[in-house]
Amino acid sequence: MQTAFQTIIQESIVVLLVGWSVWQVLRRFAARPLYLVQSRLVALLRRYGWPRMAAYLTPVAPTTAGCSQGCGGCSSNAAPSCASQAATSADTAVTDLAPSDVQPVQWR
Amino acid sequence: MNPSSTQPSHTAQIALIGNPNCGKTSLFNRLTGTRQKVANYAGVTVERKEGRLQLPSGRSLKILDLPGAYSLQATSPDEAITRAVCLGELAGEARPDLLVCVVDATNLRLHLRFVLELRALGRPMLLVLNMMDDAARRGIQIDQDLLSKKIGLPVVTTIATQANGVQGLLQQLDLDWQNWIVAPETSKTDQSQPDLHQPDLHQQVRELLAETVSMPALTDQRDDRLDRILLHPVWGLLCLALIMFMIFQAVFAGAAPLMDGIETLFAGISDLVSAQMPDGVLKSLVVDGIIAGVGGVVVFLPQILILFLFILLLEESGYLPRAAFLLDRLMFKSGLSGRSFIPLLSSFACAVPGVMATRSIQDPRDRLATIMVAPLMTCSARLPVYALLIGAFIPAQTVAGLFNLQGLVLFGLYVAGVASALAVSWLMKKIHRDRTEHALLLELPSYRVPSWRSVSLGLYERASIFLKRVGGIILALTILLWFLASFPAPPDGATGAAIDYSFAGQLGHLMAPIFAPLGFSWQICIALIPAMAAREVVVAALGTVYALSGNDDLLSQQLSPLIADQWSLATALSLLVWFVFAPQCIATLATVRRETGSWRQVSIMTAYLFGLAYLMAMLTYQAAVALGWG
Repeated sequence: MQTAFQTIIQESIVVLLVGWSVWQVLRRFAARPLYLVQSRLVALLRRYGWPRMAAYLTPVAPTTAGCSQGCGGCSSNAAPSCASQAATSADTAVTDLAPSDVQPVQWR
Repeated sequence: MNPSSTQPSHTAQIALIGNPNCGKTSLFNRLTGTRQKVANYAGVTVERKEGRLQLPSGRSLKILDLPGAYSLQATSPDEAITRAVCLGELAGEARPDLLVCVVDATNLRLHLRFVLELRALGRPMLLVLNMMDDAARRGIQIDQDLLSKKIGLPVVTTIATQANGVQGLLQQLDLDWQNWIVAPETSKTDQSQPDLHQPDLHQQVRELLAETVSMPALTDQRDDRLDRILLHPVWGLLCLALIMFMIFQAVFAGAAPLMDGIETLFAGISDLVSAQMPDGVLKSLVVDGIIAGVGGVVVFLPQILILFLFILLLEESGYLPRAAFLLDRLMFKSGLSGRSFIPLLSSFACAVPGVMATRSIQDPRDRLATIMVAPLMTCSARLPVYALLIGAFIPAQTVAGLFNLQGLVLFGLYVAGVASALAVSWLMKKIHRDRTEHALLLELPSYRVPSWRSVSLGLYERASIFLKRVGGIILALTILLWFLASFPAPPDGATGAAIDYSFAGQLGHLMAPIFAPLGFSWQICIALIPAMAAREVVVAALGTVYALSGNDDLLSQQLSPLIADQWSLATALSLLVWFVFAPQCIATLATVRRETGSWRQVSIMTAYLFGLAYLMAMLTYQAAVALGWG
């Protein structure tokens, strides 16, 4: 027989997991709107004297879709390899495509 | 050379630049420790990549890996990026402090021309002779000092694929390279623009080679022997068909034991969790949602790895451009060109890099046609769906004493994707009444024995990408689907299954009449919605939906036998055909939007692919029912 406490614990874990799932899906498929909402929230927190919370919630600008997005399509991977030689050390490597890089193609 | 100047105090930026397939990205990976995609054909890198390198002296450098280019007179979008970076025309990008010009030591006749063109920019430059191991194998001898003297630039040799193959380059980069400049020969004052009227560069290259390089033969004899068979109009096509056929046979024949192992593991975990956890909402989420859903997708990892093992081997060997050459005539008749082959082949892994790889296509019409048909190539996300349905409905028997029937059906589905892509591009050609000639100019690389380290690393990355995807977006969507399929709870006195009263159940029943002509049940309709995010989610979604809607007897079964019990063969065939055509991938649509700069093309693509999917699935279902398979 489950106690009420056990039920509350179970439901709390489920709520957390569902919340995490919503966050993951929004972050992936609605990155820009989420960024805007999060930025406004951060601005509000700063205005009302919650700078630490604001700093914690400051969003990272969404990147455009492309390689290194983990689509599973290619071996492109931004993570540094542990196999790098001793003389070199990789700090970061990013696939960074500015909007101006892209030349849209249209029917002539 | 110009007099020396002071070393810059900011983080210096160097750019790796050179012809396609000369090993720039291999060098970039070696210097930065990253694992960007490399393969033995031209046009793998189509965008600018950035990394950091700390030299033995402690100095830090920013390294740019640029798409390969034959000239600064860019003829394709990827070459335009390289040109823009070299000339300092790219917004937000400083002009590189040093151009590290990489050339293939076995192909100096072609690659040195670009070096001479770049030299005229009057920027600090370093010449890197890469692939020196191949040059040594072919008996090519290069007088490095004389070449350096003649060309007026420091020259270093590298073997980017070997761990200690870039020591010379690292030492050179640690020097003061501000004086590695050859003063431009022209009287031009504006050095930001390339000089289009340089003296005959090819003649200069010929003279340089005559003085500094000794080559026993212009071409590799080993390549010539292999090409006599593999590029033969008859034998070559036969070999190509055989290779493709073998791959799909191996996907089913080789993966079975591993898949059985994973299935058993997840069944064990499910039993354990069911026995240990108290009944309640959390147990339902873990067993019916996470294990039934995510476990159902992880099972297909061995098949994906076998498919990619072959793709990686083909990529490394240098065979793929030969296949493009063989198929050029067929592709041209269909309104594409041989250059479309590599982007379309990339789309077998995923349409996103495939669409991006079209940047190497010079002609805008060819490029757009390739983008529009790329989603018809069978991406790896379709494999779990195909494998589930084939495993459930096609008997694992041998045909003609040799071929695995399941492998044959999988091969047929891949062929269906290719055939439909060719048909659609042919139709587009007719609609646009294009009569222009699009000759194929393609560089055929030397054959190379695939490096097992590189292939193993590629497979490891493939597995980690797949598992991250399973543990990320697929898990998240499965949990959300479980939530939507579990709430709200059925009202008091309800007689149907609980899922019928849930949000997902109601939506599924609402959609069912639309998909009834295709033979889709309401459970399939529900699964199609999260599968818009990623096709393989349909497997996880079906696992969750059936786990929540089935009785105890059904719950004890794996998904494959369960759907074999519940669905008709006509429904299974219809769903297979649906997934051949349906553009169920938001990431692909977003990439098409970016590459075309227009929602119009995305709308056209989405409409025609969904229309085609609906029509073909309906025809398949109705034909199958007429044949008595319903």
